[in-house]
Amino acid sequence: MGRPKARLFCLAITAALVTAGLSACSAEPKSGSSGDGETIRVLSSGLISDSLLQKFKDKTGISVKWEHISGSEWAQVLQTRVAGKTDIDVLNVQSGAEFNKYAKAGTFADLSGEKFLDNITDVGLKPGIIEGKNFGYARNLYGIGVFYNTDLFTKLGIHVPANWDEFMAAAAKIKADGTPPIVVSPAESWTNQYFYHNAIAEFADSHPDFMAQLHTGESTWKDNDLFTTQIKRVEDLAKAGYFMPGSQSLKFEDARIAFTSGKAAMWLMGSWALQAPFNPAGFTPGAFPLPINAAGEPAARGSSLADSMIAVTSWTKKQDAAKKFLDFLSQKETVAQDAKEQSIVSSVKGATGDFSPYQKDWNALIDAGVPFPDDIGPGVNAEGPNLLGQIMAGTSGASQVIDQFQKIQDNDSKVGY
Amino acid sequence: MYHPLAGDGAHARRPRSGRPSRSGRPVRSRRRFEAGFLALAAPAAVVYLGFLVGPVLAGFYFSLTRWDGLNEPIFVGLENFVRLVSDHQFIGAVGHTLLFAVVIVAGQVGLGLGLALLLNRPRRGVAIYRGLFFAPSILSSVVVALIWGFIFNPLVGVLGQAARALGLGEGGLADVLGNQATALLGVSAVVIWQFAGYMMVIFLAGLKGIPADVYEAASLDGAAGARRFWYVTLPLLAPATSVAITISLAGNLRLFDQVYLLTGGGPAGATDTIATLIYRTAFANSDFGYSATQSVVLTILVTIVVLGQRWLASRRNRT
Repeated sequence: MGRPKARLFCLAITAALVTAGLSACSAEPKSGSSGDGETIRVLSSGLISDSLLQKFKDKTGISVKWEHISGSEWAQVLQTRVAGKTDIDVLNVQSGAEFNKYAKAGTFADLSGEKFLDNITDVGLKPGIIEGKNFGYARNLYGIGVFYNTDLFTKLGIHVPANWDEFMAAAAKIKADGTPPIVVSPAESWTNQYFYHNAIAEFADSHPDFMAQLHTGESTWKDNDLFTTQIKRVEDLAKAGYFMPGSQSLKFEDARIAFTSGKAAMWLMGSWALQAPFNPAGFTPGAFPLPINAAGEPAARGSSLADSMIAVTSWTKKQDAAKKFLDFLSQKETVAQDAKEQSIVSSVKGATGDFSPYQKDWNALIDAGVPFPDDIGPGVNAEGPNLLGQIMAGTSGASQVIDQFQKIQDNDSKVGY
Repeated sequence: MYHPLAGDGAHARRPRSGRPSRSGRPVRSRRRFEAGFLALAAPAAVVYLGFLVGPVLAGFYFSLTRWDGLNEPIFVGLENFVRLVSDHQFIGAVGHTLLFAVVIVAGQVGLGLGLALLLNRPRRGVAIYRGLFFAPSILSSVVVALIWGFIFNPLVGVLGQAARALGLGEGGLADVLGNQATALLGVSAVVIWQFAGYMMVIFLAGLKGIPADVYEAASLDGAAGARRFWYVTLPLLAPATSVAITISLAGNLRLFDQVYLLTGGGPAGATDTIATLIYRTAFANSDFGYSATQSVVLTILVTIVVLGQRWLASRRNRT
C-alpha cells in the first residue's frame, strides 16, 4: 500500500471509530420496545419484587424496568441522571431534603388531582406537597425508636424506661451486668441522628413555625431546647461509657449484627432494620420510643418518617403509563404483598400487613409517632449526624457541636434549602 | 563542533529530512503530513478538551458560584474561598491528605524498592512472587476495602480476634479503624499493601536498566553490599524513583476510594481527605459551588506538590 493510501486508510479507520463511539454515546436505549407493549423505567434506591412488576404487566401490558442503585452510589447517580434528564419515567427518592431539592428544580410532574392520591394517608401525602402542588407520595412509613433485648431487661429487672433518668439508670444496670448498653455505628454517620430525631420532630410539632424560622434566620438551633438537651445527653452517654467499645468503626449492618447477636442491649434505629436479615439470637427484641422527656413530663413519642417518595418525572413522554404504575402502587392488594416482601409499613389507607414477627411494638410506635419535619436542609441532614459522631468519639463537646450545627444551617439557608 | 544543519546558509536552507521529497515539492509534502497528523489527532484532542480541560475550566467558574447542582448557579465572587479559610473541616482534611501522602508515598516507594531488590535476581519461583506482590494493584478498590474491612472489623475481624486472644483488650489492634490515633495508619497500610507491587515493577524496570559493567567496576573498586546499593544502585535508580514518587504522590493526594469505603472519613473526621470532603459537600450536602471551590484548591495543591517534586528531582539528577 502506498503512503497516501495508507494515510487515507488510517483516516477512514479513525473516522469510523469516532462515528461508532459517538453513535454509541447517543444511542437511546429502546425502552419502549418490550415487544408486547410499553416499558417505563424507574430509578430507585429501594427494591421491589419481580412478581409485583409482573402483576402490573399482566394487568396493564406495561413493563417496568426497575433500576436499583445501591446506597453508596445513589446520590451521584440520581444527581447526574436528573441533571441530564435521561430516560427515567418514575423516580423513587428519599423524602425531605432529597425530594424537596429535586421538586424545587422542576424534576417532578404535578400530580395534583390524580385520583390515586385519595388512596394515600395524609402522612404519606404531606412530604410530596411543595407550594401547594402534589408531586408524589411516600410509599412507606417507618418508626424510629430503641430496639432492646426484652429477655435481658427482664433478667435484670429493668422495665421500659419512661423518662431519660430511667433510661440512664437502665444503661448503668446493663453495663454493670457486663453487657454494652448501646451499640452505635458512626462509620455510617447517618445512623447517629436517631439520638436527636424525635427531639427535632417533637419540637417542630409543638412549634409549627420553627423550621421556617430556621431558614429565614429568625430562629436558631439553640432555640430548640429539646434538641440541645439531647445533644448534651449524648455527651453524657459517651462519658459514662455506655456505647459499645469498638463501635466507632461499625456500620449499620455491623450494628444490626451486634444487637441481634446479643452483644449490645439496645440500638437506636428505624423500623427498616427489621428487613431481612434480622435474626435475634435466642431473645425477643422489643422497641420503645427514646424517652427524651424528663421525669414528671408527658411520655415521649417516637418519631415517624414517611419515606420512599414515588414521583413521575416532568420530562417523561410516558406520563400516562407512569401514573398507572403509581396508581398500581397505591392499591391495597399491591402494598399487602410489598409489605410482606420488603418488611415495611405502607402509607396506603387501610393497608395492613404482616411484615415481621417483631412488629408489634413498632406498629404502636409508628401509630403514635410524631412526623419528622421534611424541610431539613441537606447539609444539616448529612453533616449533623457527623457532628454527633465527634461527641461519640470524644473529640468535640456538646456546645461546639450545637454551634457547628447552626453554621451548617446557615450554609443550607444561603444555598436556598 | 560540526553539525550538518549548522554553519553555512546552504545547509540551513535544506529541508529537515536532509533531502528533497520524491515529488520534488518538500513544503507541500510537509503540509500534507501536518494536515494528516492534525486530522488523526483531532478526535483525541476533542475528547481531551471536552472531557478534561473543559470540566476543569468549568470547575473554576463554579467555584465562584453558589449552586445546588440543578438550578442556575449564582455568582458570588470569592465568597466560597473566604469560607474555606475558616472551615475547620476543610483545614483538617488538607492536613490528613498531606499526612496520607507522606506516609503512603514513603511506604509504597520504600516497600516497592525493597521488593524489587529482593526479586531482581533470577531465583527459583521469582516470577510467581512478582505476580503475587503485583496482584493487589489490579484488584478493584472495592474488593480491597471488603477484604481489609473484614480483617479490621472489631466484631468479627481477624485482627480483633487475634488482639483479644493475645490479651490486648478492646482498643488498639482490636479496633484499628475506629481509633482516631490508628485509623489513618490503618487506611495507609491498606493503600501501601495495594500498590507496593506496582512500585516494585517500576523499580524492577529501573534495575534492569543499570548496566552490569557498572557493578563490575564497583566491585573492582571494592564496593559491596550496602555501599554498592548506596553509591551505585540508588543513584542510578533516580529516574525510576522519581517516576514512582510522582505517580504515588499524584494518586495519594487525591485519595478517595479506600478512605470512603473503609472509614467514610471517620472516626469523627480523623481520616477525612480533601477528596472525600469534596464528594460529601457535593452529593450529600448538595453544595456544588463550595465543592467546586474545594476541588480547585485540591487541583492547585496537587499541581504545586507534583511539579515541586519533579523540579527537585530534576535538579538532583543534574547535580
